[in-house]
Amino acid sequence: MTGALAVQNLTVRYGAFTAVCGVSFEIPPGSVLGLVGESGSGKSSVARAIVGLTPSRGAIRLGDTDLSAGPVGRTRQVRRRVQLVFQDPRGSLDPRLHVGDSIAEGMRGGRRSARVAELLELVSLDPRVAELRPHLLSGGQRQRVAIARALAAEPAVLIADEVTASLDVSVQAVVLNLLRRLQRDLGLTMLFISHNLAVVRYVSDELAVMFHGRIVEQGPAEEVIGAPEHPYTRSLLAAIPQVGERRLLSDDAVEASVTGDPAPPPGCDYRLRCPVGPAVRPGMEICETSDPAGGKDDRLHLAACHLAEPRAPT
Amino acid sequence: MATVAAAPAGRGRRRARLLAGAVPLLLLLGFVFLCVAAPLLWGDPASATHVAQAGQGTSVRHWAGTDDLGRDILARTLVATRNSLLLAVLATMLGGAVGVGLGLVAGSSRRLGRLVSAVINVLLAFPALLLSIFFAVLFGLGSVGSVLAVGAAFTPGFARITQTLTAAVVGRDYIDAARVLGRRPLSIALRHILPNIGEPVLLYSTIHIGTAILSLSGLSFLGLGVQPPSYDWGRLLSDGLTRVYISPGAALAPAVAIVLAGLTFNMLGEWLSDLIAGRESGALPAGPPQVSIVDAEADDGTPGDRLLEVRHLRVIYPGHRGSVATPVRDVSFRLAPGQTLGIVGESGSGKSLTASAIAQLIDAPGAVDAQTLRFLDLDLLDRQAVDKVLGRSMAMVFQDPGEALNPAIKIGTHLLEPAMIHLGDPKPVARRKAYDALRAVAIGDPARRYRQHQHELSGGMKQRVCIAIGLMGEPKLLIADEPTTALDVTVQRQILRLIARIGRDTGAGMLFISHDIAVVAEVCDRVAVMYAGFVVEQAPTATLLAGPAHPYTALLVAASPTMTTDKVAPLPALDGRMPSPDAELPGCYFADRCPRADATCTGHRPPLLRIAGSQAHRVACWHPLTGPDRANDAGTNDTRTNDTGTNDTGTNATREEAPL
Repeated sequence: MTGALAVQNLTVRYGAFTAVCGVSFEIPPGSVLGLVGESGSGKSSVARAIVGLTPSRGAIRLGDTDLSAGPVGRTRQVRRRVQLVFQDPRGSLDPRLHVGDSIAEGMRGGRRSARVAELLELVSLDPRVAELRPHLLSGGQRQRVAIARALAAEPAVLIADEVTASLDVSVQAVVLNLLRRLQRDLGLTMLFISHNLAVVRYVSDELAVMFHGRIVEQGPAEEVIGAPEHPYTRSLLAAIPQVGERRLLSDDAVEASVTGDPAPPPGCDYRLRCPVGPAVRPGMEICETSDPAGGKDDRLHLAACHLAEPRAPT
Repeated sequence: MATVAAAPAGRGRRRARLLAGAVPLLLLLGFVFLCVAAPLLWGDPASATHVAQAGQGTSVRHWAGTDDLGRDILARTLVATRNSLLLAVLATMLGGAVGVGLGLVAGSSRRLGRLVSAVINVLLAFPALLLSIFFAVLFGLGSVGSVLAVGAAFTPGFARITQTLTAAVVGRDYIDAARVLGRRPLSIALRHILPNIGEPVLLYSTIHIGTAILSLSGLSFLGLGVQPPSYDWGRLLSDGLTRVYISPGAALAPAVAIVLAGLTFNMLGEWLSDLIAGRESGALPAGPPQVSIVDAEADDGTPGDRLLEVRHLRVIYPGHRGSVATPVRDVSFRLAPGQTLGIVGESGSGKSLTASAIAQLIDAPGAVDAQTLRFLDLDLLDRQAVDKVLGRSMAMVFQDPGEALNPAIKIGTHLLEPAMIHLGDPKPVARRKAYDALRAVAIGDPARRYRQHQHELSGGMKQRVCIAIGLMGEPKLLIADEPTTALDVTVQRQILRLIARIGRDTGAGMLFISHDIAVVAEVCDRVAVMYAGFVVEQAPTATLLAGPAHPYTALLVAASPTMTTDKVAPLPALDGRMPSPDAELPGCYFADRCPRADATCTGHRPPLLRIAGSQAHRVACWHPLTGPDRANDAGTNDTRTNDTGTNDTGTNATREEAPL
């Protein structure tokens, strides 16, 4: 019953604040969607809404199964097919439980200790680690235990929310390599969330860029990175420090404003910061009067920008 | 080279703690003994009536006198121990069980929780004793009634502490993880929440047994509690008090028992909580400090006058049980005016503490030790000289700008302080300078920002303000400690550009600390790589990136994916972790993770030496990736080495090039 994970019009509100606003995407089975964006863009809220930790509106479907509706007891079982790995492995493992017990938590039925050993080997850890408490493990080891715990539920979809953000560089690579190997070997469908575009690019087939609770650009990873259509994506790309290039200081394509707040409607959310928008260029009234999200589907890569290339007629 | 003695660890403190535990434990043992044995030993004199001896005062036969029926009061007090303590424990258990249950609901359930916590709030508004009297009347007189009453009166307290503790645990990711795994709320409460809040709740219970004794005695004293012919301390006290002027012993004996029992459980609780707190702060394994420092060469290849000179800097903290933690083990570098030095390292490498040591921000019990720590003409090891420079010639920018700014103080006040205190400017001059500084960090509308508080600004804006504060003192050295780590990439770029421009405009030297070698490479002329408290490699940025010599540097450069990384091949990776600050190794601290390590590496510390043929490139490695292998020198390099880098014999032909 492994099907695509499809999210339609997902909206998450915390009181009066809208964290996620009408987000839609579909991840085909066995592929990886990368979700990037700055802090506060709503990436993590999307993840928490999909696994049911945050109340949301909109449809979330896994194959033919609706994850967003139904009685609580049943959804709890259905939702187990989607597992979440958290950012900070120091907080995501119960300090009182042995590693083996933590992993076994997601299991149903018997033969648990054998299965725990199997899973530990799958994430390249010594099965004897099962006898230890989490505080004896390094950050990278703990994150691998957290991944093993998620896999114990035999998920069809794995959501990785900033899983390398709290790890040191030398250990980050261990976890990234592991996730890619598992995704390939187990045919996992994956939603990979990070603020680091280089990391997302390395892991993902498709890429979605979030700004202020919406997806502003989405397309195949290489295309979005090679030919970004939205000025925000371009700005993100230009801001990544690359070893040995010194381009952050020389490049002049900096965003127009240093304010962090999105612009009020109507019009484009990004227009105050946009380096090619009405803040710096005259004659861009359309950005102030009309929301570019409407014409998204008619453009190359689903870009929410009036300036984006239109899709070539087929 | 000064040696730092291990601070005399708290051996005396430990003895005091043991002693503090012995008293309540002995008392508790005594009470338990009385509970079990007193009715057997003194049951007869306690219940036998001798009308002839009624109402006697203190005598040799009856130490505390006798009551109206001639029963021995001391014996009755001892026998009453069982009743008094048993009821107290029962009442506490009852209040605890109900209270913890309610607290769990209040702390973890969204809808029901609000209702329960409203009830708790209302009940908490009344004093516990008043509640117990109210409930005692409600539940009826007698032992059962009073236990129920005191238990009910304790419930809100238990519920509140459980609710608070639960709310803290419920926010943790492992609870969310269990929910995602399909665990039911009850199973989450029993498996994850209760064990993690158990200790404080148990402590609270222990102390409350003492309070329960007092409450029950109070009820009995008022006649609401235990009814004759049974008796407890409160009852005895109540009876004895009527004759207190005739025979003080009759009231004194039960009173002493009540006070002693109350004190015992309070002390026991205190001692247990001390014990747990002491255990949680971590016991580091012991080990004598044996840092053998190898002298770095005098010439650093950086011409020009010196702004900052650091030689063999160490930062030391006393650990537990006489051990010593050395998060900064051996750091040497030099900085010329206008130059930018980047310090790169992972968490625990000691990079931030190095910055703090230079800025004199290491507080006791930490200690800074160095052969040389010189800023301009000032010896920074001399505390008196230091206060004059700080906030004036030296400015620091921290990782979290929200933490660095006082939320209660306006932005303007933050800016005025350095100018008015350190430079002695009058306020109008200082304010003009503040506006200039805000403009210099590209904050539009400085007059408005000047009046705002930090919470009204975005993260990038706060960091700009912090940099502006640094500029107010006209600094010669700017220390930026992970200034962009908490910021988004687009904001990071703005801040990096700003920092680079300020360095250029003011001619100040800069120490830029970051975990991200790509960021450091963007802004710095030279880079020092730190690992486990050592500088393991130091070179001009371009040299370092083109040919890293230390295997660790090579890994740092290659391990992080970039926009051009091959998506098919796995990333170069290295598992394991950095030795902790209290580890004492004779050899290279990277050896256990290093693919090139051999016996030389684990046995001998590699000195930071110049690489043959390169003026400014230094590395602390026996088997560097560039330059000749140094393993042959290991035997002679233990203590003190001059610049022998050029004398190396090139016998590295047999060394296999381990892939990274």
